[in-house]
Amino acid sequence: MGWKSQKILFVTGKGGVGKSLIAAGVARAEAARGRRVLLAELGENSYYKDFWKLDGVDHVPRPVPGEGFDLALWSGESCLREYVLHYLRVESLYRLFFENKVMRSLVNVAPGLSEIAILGKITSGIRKVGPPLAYDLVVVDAFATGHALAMFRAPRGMMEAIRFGPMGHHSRDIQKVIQDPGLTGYLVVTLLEELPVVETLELRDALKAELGVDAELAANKIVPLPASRAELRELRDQARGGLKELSGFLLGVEERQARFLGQLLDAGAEVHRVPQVYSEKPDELVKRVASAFSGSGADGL
Amino acid sequence: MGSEPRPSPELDEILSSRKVIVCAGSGGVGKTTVAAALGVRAAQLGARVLVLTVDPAKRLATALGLDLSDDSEKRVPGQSYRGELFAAVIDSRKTFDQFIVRHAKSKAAADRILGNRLYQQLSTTLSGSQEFTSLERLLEAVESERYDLVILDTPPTKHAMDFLMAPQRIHSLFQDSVTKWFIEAARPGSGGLISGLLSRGTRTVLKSLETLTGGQFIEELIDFFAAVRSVQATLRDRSVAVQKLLSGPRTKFVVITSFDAAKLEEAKYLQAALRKMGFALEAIVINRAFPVWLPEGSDADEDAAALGVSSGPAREKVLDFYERFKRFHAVRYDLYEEFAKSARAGARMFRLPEYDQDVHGLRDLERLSARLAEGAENK
Ligand SMILES: Nc1ncnc2c1ncn2[C@@H]1O[C@H](COP(=O)(O)OP(=O)(O)OP(=O)(O)O)[C@@H](O)[C@H]1O
Ligand SMILES: Nc1ncnc2c1ncn2[C@@H]1O[C@H](COP(=O)(O)OP(=O)(O)OP(=O)(O)O)[C@@H](O)[C@H]1O
Ligand SMILES: [Mg+2]
Ligand SMILES: [Mg+2]
Repeated sequence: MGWKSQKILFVTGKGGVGKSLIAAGVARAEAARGRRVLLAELGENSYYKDFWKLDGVDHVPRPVPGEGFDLALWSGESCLREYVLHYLRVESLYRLFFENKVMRSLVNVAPGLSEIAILGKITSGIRKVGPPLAYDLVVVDAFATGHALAMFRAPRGMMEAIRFGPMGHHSRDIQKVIQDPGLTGYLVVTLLEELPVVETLELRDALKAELGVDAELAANKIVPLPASRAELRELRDQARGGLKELSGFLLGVEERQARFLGQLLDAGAEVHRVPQVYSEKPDELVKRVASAFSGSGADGL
Repeated sequence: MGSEPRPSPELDEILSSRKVIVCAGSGGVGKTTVAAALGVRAAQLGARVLVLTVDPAKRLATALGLDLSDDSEKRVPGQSYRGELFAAVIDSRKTFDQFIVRHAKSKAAADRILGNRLYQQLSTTLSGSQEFTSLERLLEAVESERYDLVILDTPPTKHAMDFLMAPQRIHSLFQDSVTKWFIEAARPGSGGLISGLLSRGTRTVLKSLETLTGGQFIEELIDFFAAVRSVQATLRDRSVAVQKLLSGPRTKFVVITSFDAAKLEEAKYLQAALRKMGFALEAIVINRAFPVWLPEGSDADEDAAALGVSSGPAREKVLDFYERFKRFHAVRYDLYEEFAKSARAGARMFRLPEYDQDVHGLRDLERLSARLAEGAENK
């Protein structure tokens, strides 16, 4: 597990597959090992605010009560603000920059600008620029596949467009960090279903081709089977009513899970198995997912 | 399935009296699938209906007779409905390009925009561009008057709200004041008091921007805004037309959501936002709400009887799993009831089961739409 020593872990995957929960689980598992961990979610709205019923989630990290790590919400705009302020130094200029309607729409158009700003923030601790980020590990609950890939591509695009000046320089530094396997890890979350598995393997290939990194995978919501295949078969054939149906269902699940897990393993990826947790309680969910990442080979199945 | 579908007052009323249905929701919840299933139902009821899909899963696309590299409207093969079902894939880049070609003042003006590097980025990657092109495509389909009903699938967004905000973002970008500002900026030493004032601020801002991004970028930017002026008026008119269509009486929104506390909370925000913006929310579809085989509302005694007389070592383990499984879904059902109560009246609520295979054939869609037709849960 690379990120036991790495400093940044990007968690991505198709929409709705469990990125946020798994990012929280990894954050908890790593914090339990005594590391100082920041869980950073990207975008304008916080998912974890409702999840943990927090008062607020902000650009500036704050501890999550009872979890042992901090949480921050980083958007293109909040990161760009910080970047511009850091760069222009002069407060009034910075205000001009952001209180200007034109400027705002510009920030929207400039290709890759907000992606670079976010990556700049995530890597700022390692690059030792901007406000200090005193964490051993930043777990990023990143965008879904397509947008995440666009973000990982942004520094190279910017480097090619702008060779000189601070932006070119920064893009090069950021690029170095995100393709250094000693510093940055990638975890792609998937369900053991057709569409997410296909998308996951494509993303893994793209990350290999473009950044030269080997993403690890998390197979999420694996239904823990209560009996062996043979036992389930027997029940399906001999029982009646609900038990028969349930056994038939579980056999189908078993077959599907084995097939898609096989596809992930055939691709040569390291696959973390995360069980479906039968609970709606945030604490229980995060705890159980964390235990799937607490090493010692046991994956709770 | 040439047979008449059984009537479903709740669903059929939504489908028959509307010209446009917009399927909104956050990424991966089943928007495309539900949009297609609604299309099937409407065709069964006799409508000539078009489903405009965004990035459909390959197997679903195949079932709809679509080829992902061709964005034309196609009759869905293998159907025998009272009405007729058509489908198309929205190609964002192509729609944007066609829009420019159609509305630019001249061929030269169009080429200038199409050749701009910033435009090329904008038309594909800018957040909001996919939403903009979807709406443009919707408007074209409605204006063509070829269909009784157009069902619009929407692009994946992190939050369902993003879809509603997108047109505004694009619109504000093309505001007159913004383009003017850039054209002023490009004109060296322009006189007059106002432009004098403008260019002082302009100079400072441009300079800081140049520090950040480099001179080449600024040049492209200025060129882009100068070129885009020629389609500005049309863009504005189209935005107004879209707004009018969406908030008009013939358009209804259907929100699709997955089944967990945070997502339901988000659906509630969306419901409020839609109302505030003057859009009509007709239905909330909770997808993958329960496993398809789970016996609903069965009580323990009945279960024990139904589970039969099998014996063997696995029986206890499977039964134990079953109990946990059922308890879990009972808790989720409570969550749903709470949500249904707090989501204010007005929107109908539908729950769909989770099938043990993805939904990809026309028969699957028929099964799904039949399930929807079984009715809303808050009549
Ligand atoms: N292993 C699991 N056991 C039980 N529930 C899970 C598990 N993984 C995820 N979930 C639940 O599934 C839902 C979706 O998960 P989550 O929100 O983490 O996905 P996501 O990929 O971050 O979604 P989005 O793309 O919308 O950000 C949540 O309700 C979450 O609690
Ligand atoms: N009720 C269901 N049971 C089983 N599988 C489903 C169900 N609904 C949707 N699916 C499957 O889930 C996957 C995602 O569905 P779909 O593509 O419709 O989602 P979407 O909201 O359009 O996603 P995106 O935001 O990526 O466009 C598809 O493979 C689809 O077949
Ligand atoms: Mg998430
Ligand atoms: Mg879709």
